[in-house]
Amino acid sequence: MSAIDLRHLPPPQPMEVILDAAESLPRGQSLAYVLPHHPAPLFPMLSAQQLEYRCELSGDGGVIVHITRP
Amino acid sequence: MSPSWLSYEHAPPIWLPCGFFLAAMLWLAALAGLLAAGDMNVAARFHPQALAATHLLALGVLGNIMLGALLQLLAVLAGVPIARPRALMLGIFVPWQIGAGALVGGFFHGMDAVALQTGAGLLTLAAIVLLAHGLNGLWRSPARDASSRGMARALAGLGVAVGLGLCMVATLAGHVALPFTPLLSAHVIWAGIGWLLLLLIAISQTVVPMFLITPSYPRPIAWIAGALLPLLWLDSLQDGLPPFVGAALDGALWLAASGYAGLTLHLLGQSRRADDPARRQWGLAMLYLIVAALCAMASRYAPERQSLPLLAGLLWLGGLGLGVMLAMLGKIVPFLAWLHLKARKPPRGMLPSTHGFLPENAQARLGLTHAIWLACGAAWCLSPESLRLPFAAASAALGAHCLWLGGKIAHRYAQIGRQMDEHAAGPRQALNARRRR
Repeated sequence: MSAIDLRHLPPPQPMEVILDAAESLPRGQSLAYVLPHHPAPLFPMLSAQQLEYRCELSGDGGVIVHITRP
Repeated sequence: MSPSWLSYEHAPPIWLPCGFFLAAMLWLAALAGLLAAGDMNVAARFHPQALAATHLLALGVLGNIMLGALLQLLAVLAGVPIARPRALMLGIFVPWQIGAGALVGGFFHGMDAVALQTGAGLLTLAAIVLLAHGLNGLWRSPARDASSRGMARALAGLGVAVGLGLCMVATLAGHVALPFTPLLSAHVIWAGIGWLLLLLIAISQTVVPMFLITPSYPRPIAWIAGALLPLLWLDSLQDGLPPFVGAALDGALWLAASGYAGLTLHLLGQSRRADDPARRQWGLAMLYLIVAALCAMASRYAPERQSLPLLAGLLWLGGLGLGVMLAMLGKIVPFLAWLHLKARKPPRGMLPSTHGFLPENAQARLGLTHAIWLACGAAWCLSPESLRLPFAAASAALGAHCLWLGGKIAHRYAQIGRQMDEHAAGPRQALNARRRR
Protein backbone atom coordinates (compact mmCIF):
# COMPACT_ATOMS: atom_id res chain seq x y z
CA MET A 1 0.00 0.00 0.00
CA SER A 2 1.40 3.41 -0.94
CA ALA A 3 1.53 6.05 1.74
CA ILE A 4 -0.27 9.38 1.29
CA ASP A 5 2.12 12.31 1.59
CA LEU A 6 0.67 15.00 3.88
CA ARG A 7 3.83 17.07 4.19
CA HIS A 8 2.42 19.91 2.09
CA LEU A 9 -0.36 20.60 4.60
CA PRO A 10 0.07 23.20 7.35
CA PRO A 11 0.01 21.80 10.90
CA PRO A 12 -2.18 20.60 12.49
CA GLN A 13 -4.14 19.71 9.33
CA PRO A 14 -2.28 16.38 8.79
CA MET A 15 -3.50 15.29 12.22
CA GLU A 16 -7.06 16.31 11.33
CA VAL A 17 -6.94 14.41 8.00
CA ILE A 18 -5.57 11.26 9.66
CA LEU A 19 -8.10 11.28 12.50
CA ASP A 20 -11.01 11.76 10.09
CA ALA A 21 -9.84 8.86 7.93
CA ALA A 22 -9.01 6.64 10.90
CA GLU A 23 -12.51 7.03 12.36
CA SER A 24 -14.09 5.22 9.44
CA LEU A 25 -11.33 2.65 9.01
CA PRO A 26 -12.86 -0.90 8.85
CA ARG A 27 -11.49 -3.75 10.99
CA GLY A 28 -8.36 -5.37 9.61
CA GLN A 29 -7.64 -2.43 7.28
CA SER A 30 -4.61 -0.14 7.36
CA LEU A 31 -3.68 3.39 6.31
CA ALA A 32 -0.26 4.94 5.79
CA TYR A 33 0.76 8.60 5.71
CA VAL A 34 4.04 10.42 5.21
CA LEU A 35 4.55 13.23 7.74
CA PRO A 36 7.37 15.72 8.20
CA HIS A 37 8.22 14.56 11.74
CA HIS A 38 7.43 11.97 14.40
CA PRO A 39 3.75 12.77 15.19
CA ALA A 40 3.87 12.26 18.96
CA PRO A 41 0.67 14.31 19.69
CA LEU A 42 -1.31 12.07 17.33
CA PHE A 43 -0.60 8.81 19.11
CA PRO A 44 -2.76 9.27 22.23
CA MET A 45 -5.68 10.11 19.93
CA LEU A 46 -5.14 6.94 17.90
CA SER A 47 -4.85 4.87 21.07
CA ALA A 48 -8.11 6.36 22.33
CA GLN A 49 -9.78 4.93 19.20
CA GLN A 50 -8.24 1.47 19.83
CA LEU A 51 -6.09 1.86 16.70
CA GLU A 52 -2.62 0.35 16.36
CA TYR A 53 0.21 2.35 14.85
CA ARG A 54 3.86 2.09 13.99
CA CYS A 55 6.37 4.47 12.42
CA GLU A 56 9.28 4.10 10.05
CA LEU A 57 11.59 6.60 8.35
CA SER A 58 10.56 7.54 4.82
CA GLY A 59 14.16 7.88 3.65
CA ASP A 60 13.72 11.47 2.45
CA GLY A 61 13.56 13.23 5.81
CA GLY A 62 9.99 12.27 6.69
CA VAL A 63 8.26 9.65 8.83
CA ILE A 64 5.71 7.08 7.59
CA VAL A 65 3.01 6.28 10.13
CA HIS A 66 1.03 3.06 9.58
CA ILE A 67 -2.37 2.86 11.26
CA THR A 68 -4.36 -0.36 11.61
CA ARG A 69 -7.74 -1.15 13.13
CA PRO A 70 -7.28 -4.63 14.64
CA MET B 1 6.90 5.85 20.40
CA SER B 2 4.64 8.32 22.10
CA PRO B 3 5.64 9.24 25.64
CA SER B 4 3.24 7.53 28.05
CA TRP B 5 2.39 10.78 29.81
CA LEU B 6 1.34 12.63 26.65
CA SER B 7 -2.42 12.58 26.99
CA TYR B 8 -5.31 14.79 25.97
CA GLU B 9 -7.37 13.16 28.72
CA HIS B 10 -5.51 15.45 31.13
CA ALA B 11 -6.32 18.56 29.10
CA PRO B 12 -8.18 21.20 31.14
CA PRO B 13 -11.62 22.40 30.04
CA ILE B 14 -11.33 24.88 27.20
CA TRP B 15 -12.59 27.78 29.32
CA LEU B 16 -9.55 27.58 31.60
CA PRO B 17 -6.76 28.57 29.15
CA CYS B 18 -9.15 30.66 27.03
CA GLY B 19 -10.24 32.63 30.12
CA PHE B 20 -6.62 33.70 30.65
CA PHE B 21 -6.21 34.51 26.93
CA LEU B 22 -9.37 36.66 26.93
CA ALA B 23 -8.17 38.52 30.01
CA ALA B 24 -4.84 39.20 28.26
CA MET B 25 -6.60 40.79 25.29
CA LEU B 26 -8.70 42.98 27.61
CA TRP B 27 -5.51 44.09 29.39
CA LEU B 28 -3.99 44.95 26.01
CA ALA B 29 -6.95 47.19 25.26
CA ALA B 30 -6.58 48.70 28.75
CA LEU B 31 -3.00 49.69 27.86
CA ALA B 32 -4.51 52.17 25.39
CA GLY B 33 -6.53 53.78 28.19
CA LEU B 34 -3.50 53.94 30.50
CA LEU B 35 -1.35 55.62 27.84
CA ALA B 36 -4.12 58.04 26.85
CA ALA B 37 -4.85 59.00 30.45
CA GLY B 38 -1.17 59.50 31.34
CA ASP B 39 0.94 62.59 30.99
CA MET B 40 4.47 61.14 30.82
CA ASN B 41 6.56 63.60 28.85
CA VAL B 42 10.08 62.29 29.41
CA ALA B 43 11.72 58.98 28.52
CA ALA B 44 12.37 57.45 31.95
CA ARG B 45 12.03 53.76 32.79
CA PHE B 46 11.30 54.50 36.46
CA HIS B 47 8.62 57.12 35.80
CA PRO B 48 5.51 55.83 37.66
CA GLN B 49 3.51 55.74 34.43
CA ALA B 50 6.27 53.81 32.61
CA LEU B 51 6.28 51.33 35.53
CA ALA B 52 2.47 51.06 35.28
CA ALA B 53 2.64 50.38 31.52
CA THR B 54 5.49 47.86 31.97
CA HIS B 55 3.61 45.90 34.64
CA LEU B 56 0.37 46.05 32.66
CA LEU B 57 2.15 44.51 29.69
CA ALA B 58 4.19 42.02 31.76
CA LEU B 59 1.47 40.86 34.17
CA GLY B 60 -1.82 41.66 32.46
CA VAL B 61 -1.00 40.77 28.87
CA LEU B 62 2.00 38.40 28.83
CA GLY B 63 1.40 37.00 32.31
CA ASN B 64 -2.13 35.89 31.47
CA ILE B 65 -1.14 34.30 28.16
CA MET B 66 1.76 32.50 29.86
CA LEU B 67 -0.40 31.23 32.73
CA GLY B 68 -3.12 29.95 30.38
CA ALA B 69 -0.59 28.29 28.07
CA LEU B 70 1.39 26.84 30.98
CA LEU B 71 -1.66 25.20 32.59
CA GLN B 72 -2.58 23.67 29.22
CA LEU B 73 0.95 22.46 28.46
CA LEU B 74 1.59 21.16 31.97
CA ALA B 75 -1.49 18.98 31.52
CA VAL B 76 -0.93 17.81 27.94
CA LEU B 77 2.86 17.74 27.61
CA ALA B 78 3.89 16.79 31.13
CA GLY B 79 0.76 14.89 32.21
CA VAL B 80 0.05 17.14 35.21
CA PRO B 81 -3.69 16.63 35.67
CA ILE B 82 -6.02 19.45 36.69
CA ALA B 83 -8.35 17.76 39.13
CA ARG B 84 -10.28 20.89 40.11
CA PRO B 85 -10.12 23.49 37.33
CA ARG B 86 -12.58 25.85 39.05
CA ALA B 87 -10.44 25.89 42.20
CA LEU B 88 -7.38 26.64 40.09
CA MET B 89 -9.24 29.45 38.33
CA LEU B 90 -10.24 30.86 41.71
CA GLY B 91 -6.75 30.46 43.17
CA ILE B 92 -4.76 31.84 40.24
CA PHE B 93 -6.93 33.78 37.80
CA VAL B 94 -8.87 35.91 40.27
CA PRO B 95 -5.98 37.10 42.49
CA TRP B 96 -3.77 37.57 39.40
CA GLN B 97 -6.26 39.97 37.74
CA ILE B 98 -7.03 41.94 40.90
CA GLY B 99 -3.35 41.97 41.93
CA ALA B 100 -2.19 43.17 38.50
CA GLY B 101 -4.88 45.86 38.53
CA ALA B 102 -3.89 47.04 42.01
CA LEU B 103 -0.18 47.08 41.15
CA VAL B 104 -0.69 48.94 37.87
CA GLY B 105 -3.06 51.40 39.58
CA GLY B 106 -0.60 51.86 42.43
CA PHE B 107 2.22 52.76 40.03
CA PHE B 108 0.01 54.97 37.88
CA HIS B 109 -1.19 56.98 40.88
CA GLY B 110 2.33 57.90 41.97
CA MET B 111 3.41 54.73 43.86
CA ASP B 112 0.34 54.43 46.09
CA ALA B 113 1.64 52.23 48.94
CA VAL B 114 -1.66 50.53 49.84
CA ALA B 115 -2.40 49.61 46.20
CA LEU B 116 1.15 48.33 45.64
CA GLN B 117 1.07 46.18 48.77
CA THR B 118 -2.38 44.80 47.89
CA GLY B 119 -1.23 44.04 44.36
CA ALA B 120 2.02 42.39 45.41
CA GLY B 121 0.22 40.30 48.04
CA LEU B 122 -2.42 39.01 45.62
CA LEU B 123 0.11 38.30 42.86
CA THR B 124 2.25 36.37 45.36
CA LEU B 125 -0.81 34.36 46.38
CA ALA B 126 -1.58 33.50 42.73
CA ALA B 127 2.06 32.57 42.10
CA ILE B 128 2.14 30.29 45.18
CA VAL B 129 -0.95 28.41 43.95
CA LEU B 130 0.58 28.06 40.47
CA LEU B 131 3.96 26.92 41.83
CA ALA B 132 2.30 24.41 44.14
CA HIS B 133 0.29 23.00 41.24
CA GLY B 134 3.06 23.09 38.63
CA LEU B 135 6.15 22.07 40.58
CA ASN B 136 4.32 19.40 42.58
CA GLY B 137 2.82 18.02 39.37
CA LEU B 138 6.13 18.05 37.51
CA TRP B 139 7.85 16.33 40.45
CA ARG B 140 5.30 13.48 40.30
CA SER B 141 5.17 13.35 36.49
CA PRO B 142 7.21 10.73 34.61
CA ALA B 143 7.93 13.38 31.94
CA ARG B 144 11.62 14.26 31.79
CA ASP B 145 11.70 15.83 28.33
CA ALA B 146 13.25 19.23 27.57
CA SER B 147 9.94 21.11 27.69
CA SER B 148 8.94 19.65 31.06
CA ARG B 149 12.35 20.39 32.60
CA GLY B 150 12.19 23.87 31.08
CA MET B 151 8.75 24.54 32.55
CA ALA B 152 10.10 23.63 36.00
CA ARG B 153 12.99 26.08 35.52
CA ALA B 154 10.61 28.83 34.37
CA LEU B 155 8.33 28.26 37.35
CA ALA B 156 11.35 28.59 39.64
CA GLY B 157 12.19 31.84 37.80
CA LEU B 158 8.67 33.12 38.35
CA GLY B 159 8.91 32.31 42.06
CA VAL B 160 12.17 34.28 42.42
CA ALA B 161 10.84 37.25 40.36
CA VAL B 162 7.65 37.47 42.42
CA GLY B 163 9.57 37.09 45.69
CA LEU B 164 11.92 39.92 44.71
CA GLY B 165 8.96 42.08 43.70
CA LEU B 166 7.33 41.47 47.08
CA CYS B 167 10.58 42.42 48.85
CA MET B 168 10.74 45.68 46.85
CA VAL B 169 7.18 46.63 47.74
CA ALA B 170 7.85 45.80 51.41
CA THR B 171 10.99 47.98 51.25
CA LEU B 172 9.09 50.87 49.63
CA ALA B 173 6.41 50.60 52.32
CA GLY B 174 9.08 50.72 55.04
CA HIS B 175 8.31 47.26 56.47
CA VAL B 176 11.88 46.09 55.83
CA ALA B 177 15.13 47.88 54.96
CA LEU B 178 16.66 46.00 52.04
CA PRO B 179 19.11 47.43 49.44
CA PHE B 180 16.67 48.61 46.80
CA THR B 181 18.83 48.96 43.66
CA PRO B 182 20.20 45.37 43.66
CA LEU B 183 16.68 44.10 44.34
CA LEU B 184 15.39 46.06 41.38
CA SER B 185 18.09 44.83 38.98
CA ALA B 186 17.55 41.25 40.10
CA HIS B 187 13.75 41.55 39.80
CA VAL B 188 14.05 42.79 36.20
CA ILE B 189 16.38 40.02 35.00
CA TRP B 190 14.52 37.24 36.86
CA ALA B 191 11.18 38.37 35.43
CA GLY B 192 12.49 38.97 31.90
CA ILE B 193 14.90 36.05 31.60
CA GLY B 194 14.18 33.68 34.51
CA TRP B 195 10.44 33.55 33.82
CA LEU B 196 9.71 34.84 30.32
CA LEU B 197 12.74 33.64 28.35
CA LEU B 198 13.10 30.30 30.13
CA LEU B 199 9.43 29.53 29.46
CA LEU B 200 9.83 30.53 25.80
CA ILE B 201 12.90 28.29 25.47
CA ALA B 202 11.00 25.40 27.07
CA ILE B 203 7.91 25.76 24.92
CA SER B 204 9.70 26.51 21.66
CA GLN B 205 11.51 23.16 21.81
CA THR B 206 8.11 21.52 21.35
CA VAL B 207 6.10 23.99 19.28
CA VAL B 208 8.69 25.24 16.75
CA PRO B 209 9.48 21.80 15.24
CA MET B 210 5.85 20.70 15.54
CA PHE B 211 3.97 23.71 14.17
CA LEU B 212 6.58 25.32 11.93
CA ILE B 213 7.99 22.03 10.56
CA THR B 214 11.62 22.55 11.40
CA PRO B 215 14.30 20.11 12.56
CA SER B 216 14.59 19.68 16.33
CA TYR B 217 16.70 22.16 18.28
CA PRO B 218 20.35 21.09 18.34
CA ARG B 219 22.22 20.18 21.53
CA PRO B 220 23.42 23.74 22.40
CA ILE B 221 19.84 24.71 23.36
CA ALA B 222 20.23 22.47 26.43
CA TRP B 223 23.53 24.21 27.32
CA ILE B 224 21.86 27.63 27.01
CA ALA B 225 18.84 26.60 29.09
CA GLY B 226 21.10 24.98 31.69
CA ALA B 227 23.49 27.96 31.87
CA LEU B 228 20.84 30.66 32.28
CA LEU B 229 19.78 29.81 35.86
CA PRO B 230 23.33 29.87 37.36
CA LEU B 231 24.07 33.01 35.35
CA LEU B 232 20.94 34.65 36.75
CA TRP B 233 22.00 33.80 40.31
CA LEU B 234 25.50 35.16 39.75
CA ASP B 235 24.18 38.29 38.01
CA SER B 236 21.78 38.92 40.93
CA LEU B 237 24.72 38.98 43.33
CA GLN B 238 26.91 41.30 41.23
CA ASP B 239 26.34 44.29 43.53
CA GLY B 240 29.37 43.46 45.66
CA LEU B 241 31.59 42.53 42.71
CA PRO B 242 33.92 44.75 40.65
CA PRO B 243 32.11 46.52 37.76
CA PHE B 244 33.97 44.57 35.07
CA VAL B 245 32.68 41.29 36.55
CA GLY B 246 29.13 42.67 36.50
CA ALA B 247 29.57 43.75 32.88
CA ALA B 248 30.91 40.30 31.98
CA LEU B 249 27.96 38.58 33.69
CA ASP B 250 25.47 40.87 31.94
CA GLY B 251 27.22 40.18 28.65
CA ALA B 252 27.11 36.42 29.24
CA LEU B 253 23.37 36.58 29.98
CA TRP B 254 22.53 38.59 26.87
CA LEU B 255 24.86 36.41 24.79
CA ALA B 256 23.10 33.25 25.96
CA ALA B 257 19.70 34.81 25.20
CA SER B 258 20.92 35.86 21.75
CA GLY B 259 22.26 32.32 21.23
CA TYR B 260 18.71 31.01 21.67
CA ALA B 261 17.50 33.57 19.12
CA GLY B 262 20.28 32.57 16.70
CA LEU B 263 19.45 28.86 17.00
CA THR B 264 15.75 29.57 16.47
CA LEU B 265 16.44 31.74 13.41
CA HIS B 266 18.67 28.96 12.03
CA LEU B 267 15.84 26.42 12.46
CA LEU B 268 13.23 28.78 11.00
CA GLY B 269 15.44 29.09 7.94
CA GLN B 270 15.00 25.32 7.44
CA SER B 271 11.22 25.38 7.96
CA ARG B 272 9.11 23.57 5.37
CA ARG B 273 6.45 26.23 5.93
CA ALA B 274 8.24 29.25 4.47
CA ASP B 275 4.94 31.11 3.82
CA ASP B 276 3.46 30.49 7.26
CA PRO B 277 2.74 33.90 8.88
CA ALA B 278 3.61 32.39 12.27
CA ARG B 279 7.12 31.63 11.00
CA ARG B 280 7.60 35.28 10.04
CA GLN B 281 6.28 36.38 13.45
CA TRP B 282 8.70 34.03 15.23
CA GLY B 283 11.59 35.25 13.08
CA LEU B 284 10.80 38.90 13.81
CA ALA B 285 10.46 38.13 17.52
CA MET B 286 13.96 36.63 17.57
CA LEU B 287 15.35 39.74 15.87
CA TYR B 288 13.59 41.90 18.50
CA LEU B 289 15.33 39.79 21.19
CA ILE B 290 18.75 40.49 19.69
CA VAL B 291 18.08 44.23 19.32
CA ALA B 292 16.68 44.37 22.88
CA ALA B 293 19.86 42.69 24.18
CA LEU B 294 22.00 45.22 22.30
CA CYS B 295 19.94 48.13 23.72
CA ALA B 296 20.26 46.70 27.25
CA MET B 297 24.04 46.37 26.90
CA ALA B 298 24.36 49.83 25.32
CA SER B 299 22.36 51.40 28.14
CA ARG B 300 25.00 50.15 30.61
CA TYR B 301 27.64 52.25 28.83
CA ALA B 302 25.40 55.24 28.00
CA PRO B 303 23.26 55.72 31.12
CA GLU B 304 22.36 59.25 30.04
CA ARG B 305 20.36 57.86 27.11
CA GLN B 306 17.13 57.11 28.98
CA SER B 307 15.34 55.88 25.87
CA LEU B 308 17.63 52.83 25.56
CA PRO B 309 16.40 50.83 28.59
CA LEU B 310 12.83 51.82 27.77
CA LEU B 311 13.32 50.54 24.21
CA ALA B 312 15.00 47.36 25.48
CA GLY B 313 12.02 46.68 27.76
CA LEU B 314 9.48 47.32 25.01
CA LEU B 315 11.31 45.10 22.51
CA TRP B 316 11.71 42.35 25.11
CA LEU B 317 8.13 42.32 26.38
CA GLY B 318 6.19 43.68 23.42
CA GLY B 319 8.42 42.48 20.56
CA LEU B 320 9.78 39.12 21.70
CA GLY B 321 7.16 38.12 24.29
CA LEU B 322 3.98 39.38 22.67
CA GLY B 323 5.21 38.60 19.14
CA VAL B 324 5.82 34.92 19.89
CA MET B 325 2.67 34.62 21.96
CA LEU B 326 0.36 36.09 19.30
CA ALA B 327 1.96 33.77 16.73
CA MET B 328 1.31 30.74 18.93
CA LEU B 329 -2.19 31.77 20.01
CA GLY B 330 -3.10 31.88 16.32
CA LYS B 331 -2.13 28.21 16.10
CA ILE B 332 -3.19 26.92 19.49
CA VAL B 333 -6.60 28.54 20.12
CA PRO B 334 -8.14 27.27 16.83
CA PHE B 335 -6.56 23.85 17.55
CA LEU B 336 -8.09 23.78 21.05
CA ALA B 337 -11.50 24.69 19.61
CA TRP B 338 -11.14 21.95 17.00
CA LEU B 339 -9.92 19.39 19.55
CA HIS B 340 -12.78 20.01 21.99
CA LEU B 341 -15.40 19.75 19.24
CA LYS B 342 -13.69 16.67 17.82
CA ALA B 343 -13.98 14.97 21.21
CA ARG B 344 -17.78 15.25 20.85
CA LYS B 345 -17.54 12.97 17.77
CA PRO B 346 -19.18 15.23 15.18
CA PRO B 347 -20.73 13.68 12.05
CA ARG B 348 -18.46 13.53 9.03
CA GLY B 349 -18.03 16.88 7.28
CA MET B 350 -19.50 19.03 10.06
CA LEU B 351 -16.23 20.01 11.73
CA PRO B 352 -14.00 22.31 9.63
CA SER B 353 -10.21 22.21 9.83
CA THR B 354 -8.43 24.52 12.27
CA HIS B 355 -7.98 26.99 9.42
CA GLY B 356 -11.77 27.16 9.24
CA PHE B 357 -11.61 28.77 12.69
CA LEU B 358 -8.80 31.20 11.86
CA PRO B 359 -7.44 31.44 8.29
CA GLU B 360 -3.74 32.09 7.80
CA ASN B 361 -4.39 35.47 6.15
CA ALA B 362 -6.13 36.62 9.35
CA GLN B 363 -3.03 35.56 11.29
CA ALA B 364 -0.86 37.50 8.82
CA ARG B 365 -2.95 40.67 9.30
CA LEU B 366 -2.61 40.30 13.08
CA GLY B 367 1.16 40.07 12.64
CA LEU B 368 1.07 43.33 10.69
CA THR B 369 -1.01 45.08 13.37
CA HIS B 370 1.49 43.91 15.97
CA ALA B 371 4.45 45.21 13.92
CA ILE B 372 2.75 48.63 13.56
CA TRP B 373 1.99 48.67 17.31
CA LEU B 374 5.63 47.90 18.09
CA ALA B 375 6.87 50.62 15.73
CA CYS B 376 4.55 53.13 17.46
CA GLY B 377 5.85 51.90 20.83
CA ALA B 378 9.48 52.30 19.74
CA ALA B 379 8.72 55.83 18.53
CA TRP B 380 7.09 56.56 21.91
CA CYS B 381 10.24 55.36 23.72
CA LEU B 382 12.30 57.85 21.72
CA SER B 383 9.85 60.75 22.00
CA PRO B 384 7.21 60.13 24.67
CA GLU B 385 6.16 63.79 24.83
CA SER B 386 4.83 63.83 21.26
CA LEU B 387 4.09 60.19 20.40
CA ARG B 388 2.09 58.99 23.41
CA LEU B 389 -1.31 59.21 21.73
CA PRO B 390 -0.30 57.35 18.52
CA PHE B 391 1.02 54.52 20.75
CA ALA B 392 -2.26 54.57 22.70
CA ALA B 393 -4.24 54.40 19.42
CA ALA B 394 -2.06 51.51 18.17
CA SER B 395 -2.60 49.67 21.49
CA ALA B 396 -6.37 50.11 21.14
CA ALA B 397 -6.19 48.82 17.56
CA LEU B 398 -4.09 45.76 18.51
CA GLY B 399 -6.33 44.94 21.50
CA ALA B 400 -9.48 45.33 19.39
CA HIS B 401 -7.98 43.21 16.58
CA CYS B 402 -7.14 40.38 19.01
CA LEU B 403 -10.59 40.54 20.61
CA TRP B 404 -12.27 40.51 17.19
CA LEU B 405 -10.32 37.43 16.09
CA GLY B 406 -10.99 35.71 19.43
CA GLY B 407 -14.68 36.56 19.05
CA LYS B 408 -14.72 35.06 15.53
CA ILE B 409 -13.21 31.80 16.82
CA ALA B 410 -15.68 31.70 19.73
CA HIS B 411 -18.61 32.38 17.37
CA ARG B 412 -17.53 29.58 15.00
CA TYR B 413 -17.04 27.22 17.96
CA ALA B 414 -20.54 27.98 19.28
CA GLN B 415 -22.07 27.72 15.79
CA ILE B 416 -20.61 24.26 15.16
CA GLY B 417 -21.50 23.17 18.70
CA ARG B 418 -25.14 24.13 18.05
CA GLN B 419 -25.13 22.25 14.74
CA MET B 420 -23.83 19.18 16.54
CA ASP B 421 -26.51 19.53 19.23
CA GLU B 422 -29.24 19.81 16.60
CA HIS B 423 -27.85 16.80 14.73
CA ALA B 424 -27.73 14.76 17.93
CA ALA B 425 -31.24 15.85 18.92
CA GLY B 426 -32.65 14.97 15.47
CA PRO B 427 -32.83 11.16 15.78
CA ARG B 428 -33.97 11.41 19.41
CA GLN B 429 -36.84 13.72 18.45
CA ALA B 430 -37.81 11.37 15.66
CA LEU B 431 -37.73 8.43 18.09
CA ASN B 432 -39.89 10.30 20.62
CA ALA B 433 -42.36 11.17 17.88
CA ARG B 434 -42.57 7.47 16.85
CA ARG B 435 -43.09 6.45 20.48
CA ARG B 436 -45.91 8.96 20.85
CA ARG B 437 -47.60 7.49 17.76
